[in-house]
Amino acid sequence: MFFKYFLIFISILIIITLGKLTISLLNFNIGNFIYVFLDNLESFKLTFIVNTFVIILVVLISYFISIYLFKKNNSTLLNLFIPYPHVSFAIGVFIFFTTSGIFERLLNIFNNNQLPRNDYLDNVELSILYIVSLTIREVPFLVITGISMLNKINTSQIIILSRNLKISDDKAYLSIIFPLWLKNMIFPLLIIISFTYSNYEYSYIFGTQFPEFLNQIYLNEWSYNYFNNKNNVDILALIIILCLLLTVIFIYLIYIVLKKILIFNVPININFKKIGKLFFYIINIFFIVNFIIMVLTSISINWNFPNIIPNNLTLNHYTYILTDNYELLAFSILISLLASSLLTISLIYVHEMNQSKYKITINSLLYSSFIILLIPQNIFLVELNSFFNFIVNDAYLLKYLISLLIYTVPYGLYLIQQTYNLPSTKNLRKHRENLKISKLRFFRNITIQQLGFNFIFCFMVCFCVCFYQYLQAILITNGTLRLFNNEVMVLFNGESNYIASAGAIINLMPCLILFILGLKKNV
Amino acid sequence: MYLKFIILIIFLISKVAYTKEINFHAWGGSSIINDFIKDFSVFLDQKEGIKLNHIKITDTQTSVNLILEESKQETSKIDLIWVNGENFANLKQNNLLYGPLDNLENLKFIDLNDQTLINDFGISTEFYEIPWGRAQFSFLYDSQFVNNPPTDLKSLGLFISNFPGRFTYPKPPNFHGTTFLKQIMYELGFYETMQEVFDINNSKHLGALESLISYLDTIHPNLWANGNKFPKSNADLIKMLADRQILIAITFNPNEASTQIKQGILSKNVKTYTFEKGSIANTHFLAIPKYSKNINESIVAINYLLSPYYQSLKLNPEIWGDPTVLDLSRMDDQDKNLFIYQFSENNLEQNKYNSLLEPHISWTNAIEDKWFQVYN
Amino acid sequence: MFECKNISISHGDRKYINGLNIRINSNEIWTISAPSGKGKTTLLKYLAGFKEDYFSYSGQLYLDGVDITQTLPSKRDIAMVFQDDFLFPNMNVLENLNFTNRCDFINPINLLQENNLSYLSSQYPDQISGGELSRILLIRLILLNTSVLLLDEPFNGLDNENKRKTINFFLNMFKKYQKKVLLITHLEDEILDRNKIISL
Repeated sequence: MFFKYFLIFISILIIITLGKLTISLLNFNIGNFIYVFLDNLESFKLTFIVNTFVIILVVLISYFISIYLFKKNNSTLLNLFIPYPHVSFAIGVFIFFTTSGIFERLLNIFNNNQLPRNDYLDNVELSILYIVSLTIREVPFLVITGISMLNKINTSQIIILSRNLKISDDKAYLSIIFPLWLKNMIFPLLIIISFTYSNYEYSYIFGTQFPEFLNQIYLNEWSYNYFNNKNNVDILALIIILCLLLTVIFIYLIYIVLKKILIFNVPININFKKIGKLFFYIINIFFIVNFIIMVLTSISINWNFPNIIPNNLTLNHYTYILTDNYELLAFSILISLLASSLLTISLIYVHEMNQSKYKITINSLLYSSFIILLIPQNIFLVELNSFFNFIVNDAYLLKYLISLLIYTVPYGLYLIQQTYNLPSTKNLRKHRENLKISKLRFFRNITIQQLGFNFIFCFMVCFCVCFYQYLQAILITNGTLRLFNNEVMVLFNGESNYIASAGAIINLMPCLILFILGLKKNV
Repeated sequence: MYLKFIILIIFLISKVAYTKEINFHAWGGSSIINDFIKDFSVFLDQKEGIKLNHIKITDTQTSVNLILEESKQETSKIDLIWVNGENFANLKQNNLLYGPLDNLENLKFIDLNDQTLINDFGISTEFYEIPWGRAQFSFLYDSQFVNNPPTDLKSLGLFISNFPGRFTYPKPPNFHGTTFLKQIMYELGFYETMQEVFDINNSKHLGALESLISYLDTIHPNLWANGNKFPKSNADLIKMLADRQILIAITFNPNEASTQIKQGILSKNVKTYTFEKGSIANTHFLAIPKYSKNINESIVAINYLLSPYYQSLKLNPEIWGDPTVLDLSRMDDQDKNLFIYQFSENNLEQNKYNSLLEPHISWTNAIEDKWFQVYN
Repeated sequence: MFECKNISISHGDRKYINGLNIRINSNEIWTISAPSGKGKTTLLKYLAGFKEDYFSYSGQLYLDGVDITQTLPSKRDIAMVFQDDFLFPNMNVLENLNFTNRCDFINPINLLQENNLSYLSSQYPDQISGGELSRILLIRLILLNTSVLLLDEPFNGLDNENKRKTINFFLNMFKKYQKKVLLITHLEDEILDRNKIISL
């Protein structure tokens, strides 16, 4: 009962906040809107182009890799990349590619200059770096989801059928399976689009040298002007949402055009599996190199240009951060545990009950979290905070927990829905009813055995999503309550990449350990 | 069963989350300063049972905005704030600070005739903020590559054109960046002018801004990134100096070099200097928001931070190196001895350079607006 | 008595079952014999309480005079063996039977022993053959202690020898426990009582 009302409460909160947000966003002066829009036109173009590129690349590359890994059993490594925090990944990329970074030092081996090149990464280069890093980082999640989707749409049978009908495998992958796959991947795709538009880590880490994205401008406006000029801030929010919708429409149009082209019997010479294999190895190398760089930086001092390997090693950075922040780390782990277990248990409970009254709960949660994904996180949180303040000002912990939960819901909901929509799960229900076994008994003895790993996976993903949130600390509690992830961002603001890297590695550990334990249990 | 598990976790969280009492909003961009505050919070907890929570902020203006917003409901999440300049002016004008804090015990160690301690960018503090430390605009340079660091504008210009891409300054409105611009204007001869209130109708004032822009126009093409991009803070400059991307960095802490060298961030070749004619020195302060719920605890904290012991600890070039606001002549010998340190040759040579006053606060906005107008 | 009055199952204009009436008393085995695609499985599922969205259903079901048309399958005194039925893979045979046993008066071990199947008790479902599985599923059905048993092609896929064994096995149990049985098959040799055939 509690679990059902808990989820209903979350849905109602989301719906009310969305309502308030719509009202405040639509309350603008068209003249002001045009003025602010033209003022930020360059940023709008940049945000649209770069983000759309990222999303299209993520979808295509994930598909190629899913094809390659389908029926193979070595996707485990990709699973381990899912808990890799974005902030850590971004720091690793930055340390590698910045002027006087590791890449530059490798190039310098033959020249042996004492000063790095008098150069810097210009806007175009930074944009490319941004696209590449964000794409590579987002691919693993979509691949893991994508592989199970290939199973769901009976890919093996389609291939067999196609061969019987003298259609090549690659043609089948392109013309038959890809549209089917994409059609079923709407929810994960929305998650990717949402993250691409909401993230700050990469632009934050790459520095203010980086050309400004719309959400960066929005956050700056909010910091400086929210209390003086709320209208401007609201207009910017509207512009960001329009940009995101433009991306969605653009991708949808491409899809429609492609669908028409794909059904024609054009001879195809792309070897999907080979391309998938290539990208698979690129992604692996990128992550592993990133990790190595982070670790090396975190255990060194004075690792300055032109040294390629650090000459002084120390664990001091780790002890420094841990002695300073063990309470923060404990708090982050505990609150993420609380949020993810609450959510996972509630979702399982509601799906197990499966009566019509629970369907309303599930559906309202589904649609409201669907819509949240279309609104960049910072915008929604600002509105949520003003709603909280309207009701209860001082209960920081409760507000913080709820605001963390709200963004974990789409992931948890998607994964649990997927589990309960499997034909085998539906079959189980039929058998339970036929054999007259009580729900609780059946759940304890059969469901947990059969679906246990799916539940654990959902819990793990929810834990990671929660553990790596950071906007809530800024927009809901103004730093009074925060996660360890926030601390890493602050550390990067300081003078020491070494300390920031140590923080980034510590940040990675809880989720990585959880994933390793969970995956080990499955194997 | 699951409910019990959840209740257990909530209980554990409450143990960890609600153990702090004063929220101290202070810039968190320097690990050295963060360490100092952390040690102080341990001391305060042990000595007085007061828990100090260092909220590491990147920009004080955000905290000011928060105080402004929360004042509407007569509440404040912020109990203590590290502040000066326009942020202080904003809060004082809006009557959002608790005070006057003129009966602190350790104020007896302060020379209240020293204008730099009771005036902040030309505005009288009236004890709505208490002086905590001093800053002096300085340059850090890598002596392995730079033999004669530029000590005036002309030689700075020469240096920049001889070493293209090896100098830059943080993007205004970052306070290091803005102060660099003020420093240039002082070097251009506008010191007296800038003590007046900025007047947009005053042709001399406008001329001063134009002179600044003319100078910047000559140096920008040879700055790092050709003057198209600027780092966001002096922390970035330190990183770039460590990595030899630039050869001269800007700082407010005349003893920063030794602390960064000790951390292993800067090389031993890094030294400190400033302009021959003198450089801007200012004071940084502590203040208490009016609607804080922990005013008494904050007052106790400020008093300890003003004590000879903590002021001397702050000055220690192995810890922070931030100069004291206390007048040593008002102390007994035992306390005076706390302030004796060996200052390394990497730091700014003491008593060599003149301290110049900050211009009137109105110039800060004027300079930032002009810079944005031309270069953004 | 188990009575089905005027059962109709259709989809759009296509009627699979039209106005079917069935009456089964205790100790009777009725067989529905019809070619594939006539709606036998759908009918049987409907009688057990499982509806599919694709079809429209009408008709009444009575058990010992009580209208059970709207009763949930888990509450109905009817159980069936599906075509794609299985034992739970995380338990061995005996554990499976104990888990679903609703008979106070029968011990599954005894039932296995009586039918020379006790060697299967510690085997897991993936370790037993098709023929053995069919018999265990029938035992499980008996242990559910419902008065009506519905069997959807229970001897499907068995070779002649196993089929004969399973049918004999079932007939023995059936005589002992007085059930009302409805069976589906499309094969002549699986009709158990030639006097009680329903054609569709």
